[in-house]
Amino acid sequence: MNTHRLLRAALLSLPMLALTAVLLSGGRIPPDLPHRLALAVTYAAFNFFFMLMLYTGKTDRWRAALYIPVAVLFAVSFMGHMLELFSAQPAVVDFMFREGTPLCPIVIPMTLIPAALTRTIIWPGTLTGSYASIASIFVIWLTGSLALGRGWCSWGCFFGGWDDAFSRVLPKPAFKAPAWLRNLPFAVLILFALLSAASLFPLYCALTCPVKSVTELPAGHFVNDALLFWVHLLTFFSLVIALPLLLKRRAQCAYFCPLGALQCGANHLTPFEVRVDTKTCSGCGTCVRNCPMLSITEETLAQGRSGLRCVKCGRCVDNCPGGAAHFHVKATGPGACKDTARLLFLYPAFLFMAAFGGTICVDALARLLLLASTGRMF
Amino acid sequence: MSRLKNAGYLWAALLTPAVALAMLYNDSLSRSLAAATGVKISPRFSGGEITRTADHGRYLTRMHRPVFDGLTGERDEGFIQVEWEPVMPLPGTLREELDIYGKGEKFLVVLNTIDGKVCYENAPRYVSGESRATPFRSGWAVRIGLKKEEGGRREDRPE
Ligand code: SF4
Ligand code: SF4
Repeated sequence: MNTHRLLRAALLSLPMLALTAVLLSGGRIPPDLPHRLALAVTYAAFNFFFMLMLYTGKTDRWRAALYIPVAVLFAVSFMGHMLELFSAQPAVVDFMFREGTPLCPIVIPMTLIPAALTRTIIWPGTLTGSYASIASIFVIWLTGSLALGRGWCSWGCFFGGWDDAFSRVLPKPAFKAPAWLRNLPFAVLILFALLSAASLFPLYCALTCPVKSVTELPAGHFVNDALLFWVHLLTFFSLVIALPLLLKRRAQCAYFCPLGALQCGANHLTPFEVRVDTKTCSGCGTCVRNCPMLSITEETLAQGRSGLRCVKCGRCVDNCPGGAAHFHVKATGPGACKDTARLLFLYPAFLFMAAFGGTICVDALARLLLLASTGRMF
Repeated sequence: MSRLKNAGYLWAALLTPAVALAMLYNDSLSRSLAAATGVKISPRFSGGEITRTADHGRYLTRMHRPVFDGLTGERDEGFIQVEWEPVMPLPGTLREELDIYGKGEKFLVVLNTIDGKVCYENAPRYVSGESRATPFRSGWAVRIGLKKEEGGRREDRPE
């Protein structure tokens, strides 16, 4: 163990220890034991992995160790909230009447045109003051987009961890998908944004969303239509499990998600990017082979860039044998310190993940503890 | 160049406190965002503004405004939402007399609170016959399908 590196990592972790304490707890100790335990475990786990990021200099490895559990625990937390919301109802409530439904960020692209033209949001939720209210999710999305751009998709989104996990299972891809498929999310975005505007109904969510299967089971309780339930299951198994396994890419995020497509534009808003130092790059192609989003290609590599689809996961940076791939702060020129850029990126990115994903973990773990001790989730 | 470089670093460094503050004050920021933009929930989901409430002793009936709202302008087909909120357990059959536009064109909505079936008696021509009933809060809600009357204008209807 390198004592100097450990000391440096410990010192640099101090601000994160303080900030996550405030953000995860909301400034107060929870009154009940399950929440207190869940908070302690989440706080310790997040800060442990942050320290490992600083100590080892690796990003993606430790990010994934948190990002994937966040996705799984989100399913627990969300289902718990939905069951709680409908516990007073004796029967299935028609979707159109479900006031108070939490807003999923993936619905955001579908709401923008109607919001601009009618100043209304096409979602059966509440604007403020409830769990995942519409305005609170918009604030989180705007914060993530301005700070991280499409980094939202590897530090914020609580669905991305599913295909991220499955894309890591096999040592080699079974086959390659055609390159043009990378443009499919833009087509999905345009199609569903227009259809949703025309129908004033969030059609992507209702018809195809692959990740609905992990949040709105069992059938009949949340999804009224049995056929749609099977469509959701099919898109989940194909885009979130099978294709990520076989392609070793985050298939649902790289080939389908409309919010992901929108977030590509947000990459222009953030000061952070991943670059490749063309002078030190040996051209081995490790980054191209490993990029889970197919963002970095031979063409972008030659220009020293990571491409429009980059989610700033850091996998290429971790795996680059010569250290040519690196985090970079825009406008700081080619000779800027790579380590400083990485640190400047890690603080807001990690803090965003801890505040957004971490609070989901606290809620889910507390529900699981409650379930184990009382048989109830709320 | 060095000025630009410093600006880049400053921009990047400011994002840590910005993220912390935005997440910490999410609640008040979201209230400000909602107030500043003036957005509301689409009436296709909320049912639109409530225009009338009737107290039947055993339950309350709430009637919303007719909703024809489209992306731009109005649609030819819409609905009106009626809700029943129980004070005591609801009867098996609810019968409610409605006069949607307040022009004396009264008709009866009959809702079976066991199976959610809806039927109408003496429905005027602008009631399309389609309906959507669901358990709602502790009671029931029904959306009665409406057709825009030939040459009908929004001003003819109560807000
Ligand atoms: S592409 Fe979509 S599902 Fe994937 S991480 Fe981004 S927003 Fe989430
Ligand atoms: S270019 Fe690098 S940081 Fe960006 S998505 Fe691909 S592997 Fe992740």
